[in-house]
Amino acid sequence: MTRTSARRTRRWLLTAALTAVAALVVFPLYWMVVSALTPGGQSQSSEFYLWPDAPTTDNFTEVFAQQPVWQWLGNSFFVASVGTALSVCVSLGAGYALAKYRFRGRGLLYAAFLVTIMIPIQVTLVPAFLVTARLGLVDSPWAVILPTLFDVVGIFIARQFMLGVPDALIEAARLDGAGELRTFFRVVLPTCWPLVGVLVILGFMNRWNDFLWPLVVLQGNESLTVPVGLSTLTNNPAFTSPWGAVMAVATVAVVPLLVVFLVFQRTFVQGIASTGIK
Amino acid sequence: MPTHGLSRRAFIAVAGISVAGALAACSGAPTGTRHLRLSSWNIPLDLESYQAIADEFVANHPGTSVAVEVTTGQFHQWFITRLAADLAPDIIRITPQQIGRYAANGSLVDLTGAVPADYRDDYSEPFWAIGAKEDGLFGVFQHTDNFITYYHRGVLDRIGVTAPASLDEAWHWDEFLEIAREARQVTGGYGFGYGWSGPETAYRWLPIVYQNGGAFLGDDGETPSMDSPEAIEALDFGRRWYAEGLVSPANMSKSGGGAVARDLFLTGQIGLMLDNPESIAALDEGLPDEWGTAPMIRNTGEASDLGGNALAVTRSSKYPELAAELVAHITSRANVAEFCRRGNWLPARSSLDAADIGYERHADTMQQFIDQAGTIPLSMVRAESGRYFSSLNSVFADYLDLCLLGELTPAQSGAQMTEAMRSVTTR
Amino acid sequence: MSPHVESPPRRRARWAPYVFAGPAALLFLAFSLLPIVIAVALSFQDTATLGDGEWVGTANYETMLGDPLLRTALWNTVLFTVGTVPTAMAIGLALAVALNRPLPGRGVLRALFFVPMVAAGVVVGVIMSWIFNPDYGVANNALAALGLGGLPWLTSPRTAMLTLIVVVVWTRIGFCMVIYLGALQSIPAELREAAAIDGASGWQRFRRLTVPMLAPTTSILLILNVVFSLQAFDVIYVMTGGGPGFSTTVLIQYVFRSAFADARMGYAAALGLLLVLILLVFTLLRQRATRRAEELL
Repeated sequence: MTRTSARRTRRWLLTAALTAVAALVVFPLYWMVVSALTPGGQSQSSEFYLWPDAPTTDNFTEVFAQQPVWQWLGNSFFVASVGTALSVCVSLGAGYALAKYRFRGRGLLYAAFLVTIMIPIQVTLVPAFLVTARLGLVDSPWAVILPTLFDVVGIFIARQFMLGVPDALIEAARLDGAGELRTFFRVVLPTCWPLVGVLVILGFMNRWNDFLWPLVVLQGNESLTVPVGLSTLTNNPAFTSPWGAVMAVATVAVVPLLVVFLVFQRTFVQGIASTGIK
Repeated sequence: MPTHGLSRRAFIAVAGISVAGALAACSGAPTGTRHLRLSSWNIPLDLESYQAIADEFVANHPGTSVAVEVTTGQFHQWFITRLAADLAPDIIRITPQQIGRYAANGSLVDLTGAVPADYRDDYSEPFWAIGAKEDGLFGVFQHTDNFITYYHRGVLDRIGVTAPASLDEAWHWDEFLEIAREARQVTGGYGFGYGWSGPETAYRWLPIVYQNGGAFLGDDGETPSMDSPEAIEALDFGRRWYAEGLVSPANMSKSGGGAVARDLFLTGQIGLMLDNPESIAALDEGLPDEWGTAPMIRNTGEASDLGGNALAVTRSSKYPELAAELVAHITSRANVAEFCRRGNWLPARSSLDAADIGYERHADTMQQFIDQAGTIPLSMVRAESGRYFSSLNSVFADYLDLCLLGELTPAQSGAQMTEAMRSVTTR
Repeated sequence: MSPHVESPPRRRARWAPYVFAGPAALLFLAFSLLPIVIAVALSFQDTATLGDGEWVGTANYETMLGDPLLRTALWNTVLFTVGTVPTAMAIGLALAVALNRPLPGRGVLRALFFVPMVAAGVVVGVIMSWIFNPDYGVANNALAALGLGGLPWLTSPRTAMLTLIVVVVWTRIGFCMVIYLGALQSIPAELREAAAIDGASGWQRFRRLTVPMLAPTTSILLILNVVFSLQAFDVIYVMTGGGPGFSTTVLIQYVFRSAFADARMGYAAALGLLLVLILLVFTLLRQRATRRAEELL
């Protein structure tokens, strides 16, 4: 009896400690929202507060009136969702080929894929832009979408998952006379939903937050994505934007993802568990 | 046969791409129209002004169209990449500190033929020198911006000093530090602040060097000279700001972005601030009627920051003559006046004063800024708009930081800075 | 039970893997390999921003040998990587183990720890410089409210790197936690129960069972985290610009600075390839270490 109650106390203590740490971890984003709701003056003062005396949505109203923030959000959403959808298809195909076929050049291809995550974008930015420009893609959302469809981490995760799909399943389909594509779509793919969930969440998040590439390929205030739009408000030698506006846009950039993640976090953790990154 | 799923998807993707490509190719304007793109910093009022001036231009030039776009953050990264693929905007709004490299390496177009000859007469020598290089005219300075001294009225009253009103009464360094020490007593925080906003703006401190008769680069505009006694004395002056706790260590070029000095001033943590006219709107909102302005500080000489922007035509432009004409149109006397009135900027042209422009607010302060602009030295302009300046500015930021922090003595940082600058200019 | 085949099954079509991997391979060729080849070529050139570079042989690589700023940047990169990677992984693992137990509200807690990962680097940089401003940032304001003195955070060469490490660890723990959680959930419960019956204590079970079972996950996380750390650009760029002084100038900052502030594309490409080389060597050493460990067992 005392043992269980001791265990229960321990469990609650652990929960309390974790809650305290979690509060600290969430605080910076909470503070971003608070700063966006704080009128100028109080936010730069040296007094300590956790909630503004007179919260206001002025910062939001002002920045939404002055900048095409809705369009930025729309662009981010388009680029992230279309890019993710296509990229998941590419990753599934590549992961399947690498996991379940023996073919000439497989090892080399896989190694070459993996090496690309080591190349910093600062080095390939100009060459990659030249290629994209030569293809006539620049200044359209496709310039953001297409060159980022190849997603090494996605392919890697897909391959790991597909390794776990039993060969017997595939052989059985073949014995039934199914073709290669039919086997993939009718037999393999239906076992992959947890994998697809993980790829979608990771892919969407990365694309939503992507910064340097959209920065160079997009042009025109109405065509920008949210992080790039935010960078036109900070980071300029020519002018400084008020903190309130910056915090308001930062909030707008983070909150949609936050909601998506909070809704899907359970699926996500289970998906990771089943992808077999281990 | 339900087996074409993947290839169908690939097909759709490819089709989408080619459609997008086709759209991009014919986007903008109907065939025959000459389309220009002008890229500006993302300041809503300015974007409107540019568009209004451009619309007027389009009305007088049938068969043309102009789109005003925004320059995204990390300017060089964006601009270099765009230039490499010949996809930079036709016209770029660019700071004097950024223009030098692009003027020197063939990225900008010579505007000599397109700019009316009388423009030169309405520009001071320093302001004209921003775009005028040995081998051509690569930009026309449109509006400027510089530093003067802002003060908190209450703080000066408590100290019992009156702010100087004209340039010839401007505070000298020692007087200013004395007042700053007293201001710190009053605020309980720091004495004053300096209007940097991030590492790219380190150069805003160069006027201090010139105020002491020092120079960033020698007379030839190429030889690093931050190890001269005058420059080292200036660095020592800067070191005192921090050693005595008169300026917050957070208020340094590299640390933090944003307008640290302005934030400190608005919340009464400093009583004085050396800054540009951008702060006016925030002060009107946060401290209405509690602030005033005085000229920039000086020592043996006078100098102030070289802010503002030039307009230049890039070599990506398909219609460079037309673009050059538009630059000339935007920098006409009337249009400069209108642009400055709407955006609260200072005119680059000498013949315009605050009354000509008709600022809606603070005409006196704006006139003070315009007068201050006359103290910007030609040699500083040459140095800042030179071909290596963007690299030199990072070196300056590094060693200025080390000096202000007290990691290096002023003499050491002057010597090491000069050494590092030399390795840039002899590269 | 011997596999007896009545009619021969369809042979696996030889074209199939090429169709499945084709889109990825094409995209890889166009948008990864081609730019990399161009970058390698650039590293042997001297470019004045634009136009055709001049072939200079190995001059850029020779410059690297005598570049004092590169040495500083490499040292800072080591500090930054050693500071961030093990810390983020250890915290992530601890959280994963704790939140793998049946605790009240663990779903919410898991989600909260993951929250920092949703913010883009630029956004993190902006928020954190705001929070850690020594004069009006909430961090020092809170310390003052507790009657403690403020810290200089990003404004002193002695604390700036540490502050950056804290911020970057903050952005990573959620990712490490989720990956570890996934791996923990795939450890069969019977194994753990068996260990418990054998009388192993919690710590023993963790050391003898959990840690070895997680080794492959640890290995992947390690490499990913090292890659992330070596390429961490936005946060540092926004928060310190490499300063104060040179205290937070890491290799990737220097690559950026050479390419765009100095417009030395060729040198920047050479520096970038050095970074890739470091990563490759690290990866290979790790693989060899793993293999040796397996041989010892």
